[in-house]
Parts: sequence; structure tokens; C-alpha cells
Amino acid sequence: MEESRCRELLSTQGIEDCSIIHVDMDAFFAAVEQRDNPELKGKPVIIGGSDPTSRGVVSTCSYEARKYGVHSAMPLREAYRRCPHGIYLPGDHRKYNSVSKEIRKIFRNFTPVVEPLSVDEAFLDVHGCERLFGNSVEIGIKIKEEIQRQLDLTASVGIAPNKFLAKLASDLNKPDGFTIITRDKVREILWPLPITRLWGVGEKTAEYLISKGIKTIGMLAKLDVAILESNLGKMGPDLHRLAHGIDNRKVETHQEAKSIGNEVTFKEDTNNIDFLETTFLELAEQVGRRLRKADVSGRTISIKLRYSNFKTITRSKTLSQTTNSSQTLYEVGLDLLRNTDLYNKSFRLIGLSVSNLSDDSVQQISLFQEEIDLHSDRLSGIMDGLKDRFGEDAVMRARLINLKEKEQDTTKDKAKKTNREQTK
Amino acid sequence: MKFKISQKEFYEGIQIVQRAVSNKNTLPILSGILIKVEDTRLKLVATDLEIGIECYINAEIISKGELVLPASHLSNVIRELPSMTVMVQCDLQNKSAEILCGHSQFTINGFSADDFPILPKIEDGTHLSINQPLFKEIVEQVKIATSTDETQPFLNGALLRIVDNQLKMGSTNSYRLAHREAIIETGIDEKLEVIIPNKTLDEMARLLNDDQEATVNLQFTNNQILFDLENITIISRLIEGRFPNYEPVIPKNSNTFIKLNRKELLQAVKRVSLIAAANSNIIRTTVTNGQMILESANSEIGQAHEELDIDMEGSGVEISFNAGYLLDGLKILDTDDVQLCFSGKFSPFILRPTNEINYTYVVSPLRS
Repeated sequence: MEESRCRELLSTQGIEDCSIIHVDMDAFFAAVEQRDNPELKGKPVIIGGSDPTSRGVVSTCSYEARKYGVHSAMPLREAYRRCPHGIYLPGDHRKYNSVSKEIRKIFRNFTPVVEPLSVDEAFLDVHGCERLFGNSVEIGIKIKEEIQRQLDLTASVGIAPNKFLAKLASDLNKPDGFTIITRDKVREILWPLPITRLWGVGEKTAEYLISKGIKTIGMLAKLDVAILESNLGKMGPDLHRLAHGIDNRKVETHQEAKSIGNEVTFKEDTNNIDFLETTFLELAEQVGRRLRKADVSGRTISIKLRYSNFKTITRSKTLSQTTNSSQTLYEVGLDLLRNTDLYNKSFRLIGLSVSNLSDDSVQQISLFQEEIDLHSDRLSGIMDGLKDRFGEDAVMRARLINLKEKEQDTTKDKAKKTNREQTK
Repeated sequence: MKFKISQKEFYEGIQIVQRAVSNKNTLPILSGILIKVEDTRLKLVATDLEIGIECYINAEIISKGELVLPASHLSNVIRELPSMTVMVQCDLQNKSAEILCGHSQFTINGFSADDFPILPKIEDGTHLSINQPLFKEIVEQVKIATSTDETQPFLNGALLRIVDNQLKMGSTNSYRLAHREAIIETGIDEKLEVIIPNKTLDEMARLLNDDQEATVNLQFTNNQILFDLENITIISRLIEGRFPNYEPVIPKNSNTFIKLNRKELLQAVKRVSLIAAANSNIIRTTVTNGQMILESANSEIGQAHEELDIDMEGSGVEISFNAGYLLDGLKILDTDDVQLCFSGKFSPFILRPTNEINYTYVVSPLRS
């Protein structure tokens, strides 16, 4: 960073209580590719798949590609339409993960209180580190410089009194940004922004608020909390606080998974209900195994179904007892699935997840433990043991054999499976 | 319609029926109390269609009629009036009531009584008559173990059975259970099995009397139960579904029996659970050589340790369980001493008043 800019940042008034730093890598995957292959520098690089006519979505794209209107989560085909001369790459997630680890190492040199949000962004709380490394602005500058020097990548930094404002700040002057939002700047910076920038305002809430004439964060901030609460419920006071720049959430260094789930995007849309249900059984097996590996059980089972027109529905059911049994996940999930409108529809994706998780290390024994549950628990245990020793395909339900064989026939381009990260 | 009534009696009557007023705003009229002025007395009725309560109170009747008034406003107004005679005069045309007391005057708008649901009259069905304090004790001892988990509606209440000359009542949330038996003159030949909802049990415990002379009459139909107390009638829906056959779950072959002072145990468990509360309320109990040790630990807060002297028979045992479950059982008993019977680390254990076999409370342990 230029010296004059550093001096200007360091002279910011009112940074005493700004101890939260949000660091967000700029176009992370694309930037790593451009760094490692100088030929890609200055060109539109789009990560998501090497074949832009395939069914994937853009995971990241370089700033050069963004000029053409390409953005992440856009279907690849649409990206290709907008930017046909772009360079399309499948992405090397192993490499990105190892770079991500290097970045976190840099963070941890300054503070132990680091909350990674994903591979390319994290919150840091530097409260109490001032004597070692200087105030938060000095630390922010040092982190940015270290990332540049050690990894040859740029990051955008946001500094504020809390997480919400820090994240907002890092996003304000991307790429290569450095933004500080002190308490007395909240009105000036936050209030003119559209309400969609508030944490927790999704499509539906935004639509509702705009229909009431509330377009900016400032307009929402000036409303009476009681009115917000009566219209938006519990969320109302939360949004009101955020709109005033108040956010009391701590930087969490380790988070436990709130849900565990898997989903499958079919290689081609399917209207074959039998195939859908068989795939669902496979998901139940996978999710059950992940629960058991993590030593947790869950009470709420949710399914997700995306139709070929991208309309997505979710259904869930909460059980009276926690479960980690693949059989229970399958039975309950199938029931939910069969209660949705499956007739004459074509499907793109199916998912299963379990939430309301609790630790299995302590288990309340039921008075009415049924023999059949004990059997299925024992069966799961034995199957898990075999899989641990001989691999995931060592033993499987008969119904899944055809599915596996089909997959092997098309190993080259098999159904893309997204193992959803444990959602935080 | 017009009547005079003492403020105190009127407010007591309102309080009796008010608990049946619907707190879900499905039908506005269900948020009201029906006031029916009969020849010599006043009838108050409230219902949420699950439970209905009727109560008769004495009043000086000037003219007859009926009207529904919003329960919360009526109750707030009557509560705050001075303890004097209240005069209520209703304008049935405008569906409003004028309330006069001392220098106070209120007008409250209500609903037409024609729209108020009529509580079903149970004429046939099985009858049963029980001493009120006994039935109150049974209900109180059993209702503590019911479940509130809506995924298992049939556990959201207690099972009442009549078998020969025995009344048996039980409840469970699948982790603990309460069971009570009593010998009564039933005069009922057929077998009877009904599940009474939680809310009804709460109301019964509240309204039943401690007067040794008082009796309560129960009447059963397929889907309803009626309790007839003097001047008060409660009618409740029954829960449909099959209650689990819980009696086989009660351990028969325990191998550790201990006897100790109920209050001392209650207080020790309370103290130990101060630390356990943050940890799913898990406490560990060790029974050895005439001593019972209660412990809990939480990695962030710290740990607790209590020792109690006990009378002990059989082998020692170590067991972990939810402290809250044991507390509920200890609180509901009134004997000086209690007995605990264990059958091993991972088997349910029994809590009973000493020398008493009519009441059994069972807690299932935790596996860690």
C-alpha cells in the first residue's frame, strides 16, 4: 500500500473500539490461477467447469470477467453467453485449500481469535493485541501486506466495531480495498445503502420491505421497533439493531456444525421417480454415515428438491428422538418426498440434511427402546465397520448396486455431487 | 338481563373458568366468557373447544338473559373493583354490559350468546365417583411425567384405566414414567382406558378440593370426559391414539435398594444440578457402603460433590441420569423417607415413598 494511503488510514479518528477485522480475498480462486499462470493475467478467468456449455455454475470469476456481467452462482451457460472468449477452468480445490491454510496462518500470527467463514474470508478479533502489533488499522495493513508479500494475492480488509460492519466495510471498496467504519460513520456509510445489504434480509423480506416503501437501511433505522416487530416478528428488532450498526455477535473461533447434509445435482434432469428415490436412499446412507462419524444425532430431517425450472422446495420433519440411523433418515425423508408434488415433474437436484444436532457422547436411554431400532443400529455399526476397513463400496444395499454400476459406466462425467460443507 | 353479585365471588368464578378461554385467536367469541343468568344463580362458561369449564355462582337475580363478554377485559375490570356489590346490567340489543360498583362505571362490549358453542351434554357413558383429595393426589403425582412433545400426541396426557376395583393412572415422556394405583368402589364392569390431556390434568389439580368429604364424579364417553365437582363442571376432549403398554417397563428385579430422607436428597440433587444445569442436567450417582454420592461437572464452570448417608441393601451401583427427572419425582412426594431401587448402570431405576407400593416413578439413565 502507498505510504500516503497508510498514513491517511492510520490517522482515522475513533478507531479505539474498532477491533473486528474482516478479510476477504479478491476473486480468490481466479486470482490463484492468474498468479500461477501468468498467461491468464488481465484476462477474464471463470472457475466452475472447463466446459462452459455444461450444467455447472460459476464459483468465482476474475474482475476482468465481472466487467461482462459474469458473477458467481451464475449458470455457466449464461456466463458463456455473456463472455464467450473467457477462459473457463474447472478449479483446483486442493490447491485453493492449501493457499487458504497459508492465509489463516498469517491471521493467527496476529490473533488467536479467527473465525473462518469460508476458504477465502475470515473475521478476526484483535482486541488486546494492540501492544504487540499496534492498533487494528496497523494490524489490518500488516495482514494485507503479508498476504501480498508471501502469497502474491490481494485481499480486501474491513475494520469496524463489530462483525456486521466489518464485513460490510471489506465489501465497499473491492478489490484491494481497505475500509474503516467507525461508530460515528454509521449513518453516513450505512444508511444510504439498500436494505438488501442488511444481514438477514433475503429476497422475501426485501420484497416485503420495498413494497412498504422501505428502500434504504436508513429508512428502516428510523422506523419504530414495535412496528417492525409486529410486521416481521422476532427478526424486526434484530434488523433494527443492525440498521443502527449494532451487532453483538462474538467472533467464534470454533463452531460446531448446525446441520449435516448432502445433495446431488443430476447429470441430466430426471422424471424417473424410482431413480429419484434410489438416489435418495444413497443420500440417506451417506448422511447417516457422516452423522455417525461425527458422533452426533439429529432430530430434524429436511429434504430439498429442485425442479428443472429451478424452483426449489424444502420440507422437514422433527422427530421425537434424535437419530443417526440411515434407515430412519430414509423412511422419514421418503415420506416427506412422497408428500410433495412429484407427478409429471422433472428434477434437477435432491438433497437431504439433518439439523437440531446433539452430541452422542451422552445419550438418554429410552424406556421403550424397540428391538427393531437396536437391530438397525447394530446393522449400521457393522456396515460402518466394513466401510472403514475396505472402502465405501465394500458393502451396500442391494437397491444401490444399479446406481453404482451406472455411475461406473459414466465415470468420465459422473453426476456432480456436491458434498455441502457443514453449514455453519 | 340484570344481576347483583359480590365482587369477590364474581372474580373467583371468572378465575375458575378463565383458564379454558382460548388463547389462540381462531374464533373471536372463544376469547370470551358466557354469562348466563338463570332463575336463582349465575352460570359462567368458557371453552377453547378442547376443554370447557362451567361454574355456578350465587347472585341476586333481577332479570334473566345471557351474553358473552371478553374474558381478559372482564377479568381485569372485576379484579380491580373495590370489594363491594357489583351490579351488572346488559344491553342485549347492543351486546354490551354495564358494570357498576361504588363510584365506578364500565361499559364492556361483548358478543351474542347465540354464537357461543354449547358444551356437549354427556348423558350416557360410564360413571365413577372418587374422593376429591385422593383424586387430586393421583392427578398431581401422575401429571409430572407427561410429555409435551407434539410429535407424540398420545403422550401429551395421562392414561387412566379402570380394571375391576382398581383405578390405574400413568404417564411417560419415554424417558421417565409415573404410575399410581388406587382401590376404589367403581361398580364398573367393563374395562375402561382413556388418555386425559395435559391441560385438563393441570385444571383438575387446580380445581380439586382438599376437603375429605368432597367427591368428584367422572363420566366417560368415547371421546370425552366430564368431571363434576360441586358447582363446577369440566368437560374435556380425550386424546386419541394408543398409549404405550408401560407396565412391563417398570423394573421387577432390582438388585440395589436404598432408603434415605426425601428432603435431604431433594436438596442435595438441587445443589448438584446447579452445576449440571449447563450440561444437560447430567448428574452421576454412586452408591457404595452406606453412602450415596452425587456429582456433576462442567468443563467451564467447575464441579459439585454431595454425600448422603443411606440405608442400603444389595450391591453398589454407579449411574448417570437427568437430575430434573429425579427432582420432579421427589418434589411431588410428601413422605419423610423415600426408597430407590436400581437394576444396573444402564437400566431404569425406581423412586417410591417408603413402605408404599401404590406409587412408582421410574427414570431411565443416560449412557455416556
